[in-house]
Amino acid sequence: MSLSQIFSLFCCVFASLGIIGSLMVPLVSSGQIVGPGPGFFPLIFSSALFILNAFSFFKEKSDKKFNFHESLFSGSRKKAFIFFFLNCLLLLFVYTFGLVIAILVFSLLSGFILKRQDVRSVFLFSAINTFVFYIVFIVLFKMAFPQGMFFRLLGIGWYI
Amino acid sequence: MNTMELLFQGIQACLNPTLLLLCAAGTFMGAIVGVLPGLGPATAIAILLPMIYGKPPLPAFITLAGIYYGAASGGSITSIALNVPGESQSVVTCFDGYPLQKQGKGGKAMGIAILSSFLGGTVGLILLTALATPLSKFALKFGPQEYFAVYVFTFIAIICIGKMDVRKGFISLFFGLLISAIGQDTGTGVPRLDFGIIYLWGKVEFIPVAVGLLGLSEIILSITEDMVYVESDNTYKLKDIFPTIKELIFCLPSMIRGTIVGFFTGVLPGAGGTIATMLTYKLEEQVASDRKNFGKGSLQGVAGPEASNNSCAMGAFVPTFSLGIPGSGTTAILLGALVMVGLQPGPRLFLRDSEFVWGVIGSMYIGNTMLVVQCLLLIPLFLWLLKISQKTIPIIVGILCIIGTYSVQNSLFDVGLMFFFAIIGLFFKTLDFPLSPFLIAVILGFDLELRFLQTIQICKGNISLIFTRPIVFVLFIASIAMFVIPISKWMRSKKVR
Repeated sequence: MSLSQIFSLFCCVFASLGIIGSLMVPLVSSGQIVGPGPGFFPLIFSSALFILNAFSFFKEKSDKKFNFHESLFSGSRKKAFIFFFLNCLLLLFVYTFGLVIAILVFSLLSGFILKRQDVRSVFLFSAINTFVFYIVFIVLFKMAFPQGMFFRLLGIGWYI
Repeated sequence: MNTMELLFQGIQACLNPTLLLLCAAGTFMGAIVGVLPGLGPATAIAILLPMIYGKPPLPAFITLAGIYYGAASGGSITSIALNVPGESQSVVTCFDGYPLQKQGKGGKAMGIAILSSFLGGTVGLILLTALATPLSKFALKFGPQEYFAVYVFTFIAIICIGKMDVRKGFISLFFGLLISAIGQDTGTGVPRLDFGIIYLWGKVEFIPVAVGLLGLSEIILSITEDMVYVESDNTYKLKDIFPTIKELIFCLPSMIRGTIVGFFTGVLPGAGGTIATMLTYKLEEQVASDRKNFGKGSLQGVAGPEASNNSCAMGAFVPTFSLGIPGSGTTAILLGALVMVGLQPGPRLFLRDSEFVWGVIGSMYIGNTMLVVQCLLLIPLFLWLLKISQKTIPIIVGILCIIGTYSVQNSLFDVGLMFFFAIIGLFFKTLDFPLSPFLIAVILGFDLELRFLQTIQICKGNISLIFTRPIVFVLFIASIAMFVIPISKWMRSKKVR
């Protein structure tokens, strides 16, 4: 299967969920005037999406097969995959250690893994980055972020 | 009050330090976005959306609009200096800009590009000022039937006018419409397509969709494309940048033609800056006095497309403000921002929130002037930013995407949705699916359904009655024509083959 066929298949599955979901609610409203019900439009949209993608699936040539390993872990794609993983990790860190620590760790890891810069410039960039984000988000925009379960459990009342 | 009085009132409202600073910040960020490859105005605006959530509309929108039209100016700098277009619409500027740079006239080319952008932007603004009010007054006569027809026309136009694959365009459109259908039904309030997930009872929030689709996916993709930075040997002194009066007069006809082509291309849904600049360059190749030097380094080849680019950005605001219909992916994001700050887009915006609309238009006049000064004085800074951006931008944008999405509702589910749409965005971009139909469908899908339900009520169930209304009839005929013509062309070309 080629990548476009995989995407068509994914869209078909998504559209099928849409069809099932729209059939779970009334298709026609039974008021004074008979009109479309809650499921009418979703059914049309998902059916159209299904038909178009089914057509695409069979139309696309499958000679250029999708190589999972090559597509995700070769050359600079490996970097992109790691970056995506680091982004997921950032979210986990915000929840566990709070915003400041999370940004600092994320900047350090990204600097070392993705850019392979020297230690001094990575530390400098991470410190500046964290400081700017702290000023912008917490001081200027006064946004509320999780304080971090770790520090809450330790009983340290820092706002980080 | 007449249009001029409203405009002056708008400009006056913007002449306070905070708004001026935000306008300058917006245009500056826009110019940087224009300079940096892989970071377009749509991406930048999407990333900043969480930060304007719950903020007053005028300051928020002045900044976002500044990014949009600022990006149209910034792209020319790297196109000329390094042959690296920051935006797709700046590709045309490379054709003549870079040869001029190699001839040692890079500074002159930049000066002409910046002044053409200013002229295109300003004339585009004047046309926007003149056209937006009459169009919105005309649109006030629209009922649900007309709006339904306008939405259908917009969806088809956005797919069929541009050079996109029609099949991929429709897949993108129906995907977006299906996403917009998730949540409470417009008519009955019944939750649908929620599969028991409480978070899906309301609508799918626009921020995770926009940030994932345009922000995170774009930056991940930019990591896979390792760009090799070529340092420019030239230094740009201010006296080398300013063109002479003779050169300005020489380029003026190209600027005017570019402005006109760009503006009206911008008004059309689906035809963005790239098509506008390409059309202008093609036109200039036919009619410009210096056409024999096109491709070898002609100032007219830089002036026309640059004026067109900025004028197109202003033209795109006409349907966005007066009809509430976005003409491109970026204006779709701006329209989403308008809804987010609590305003209802459409013709009534000029009646209900005239201070806001004229404030934004007034700020564009100021911002356009600020852009000239910023671009002329900060060329070395922009080139330096391009050099360091490769190492820092992905990290900053990654943090902004996650923190920004989370901060809007303190919801992890939203971040999860953002990751889902980032994956969808990666598929879309890798497989060359257009994003604008998806974004416009997500924004207008809810309204499309609402207008259809209202139409059914008005027509008492007899839908054929809507064709008795002339505007609806014309729009449907235009939609059918727009849909049929490319398909018949494709079938004819298949037969020939």
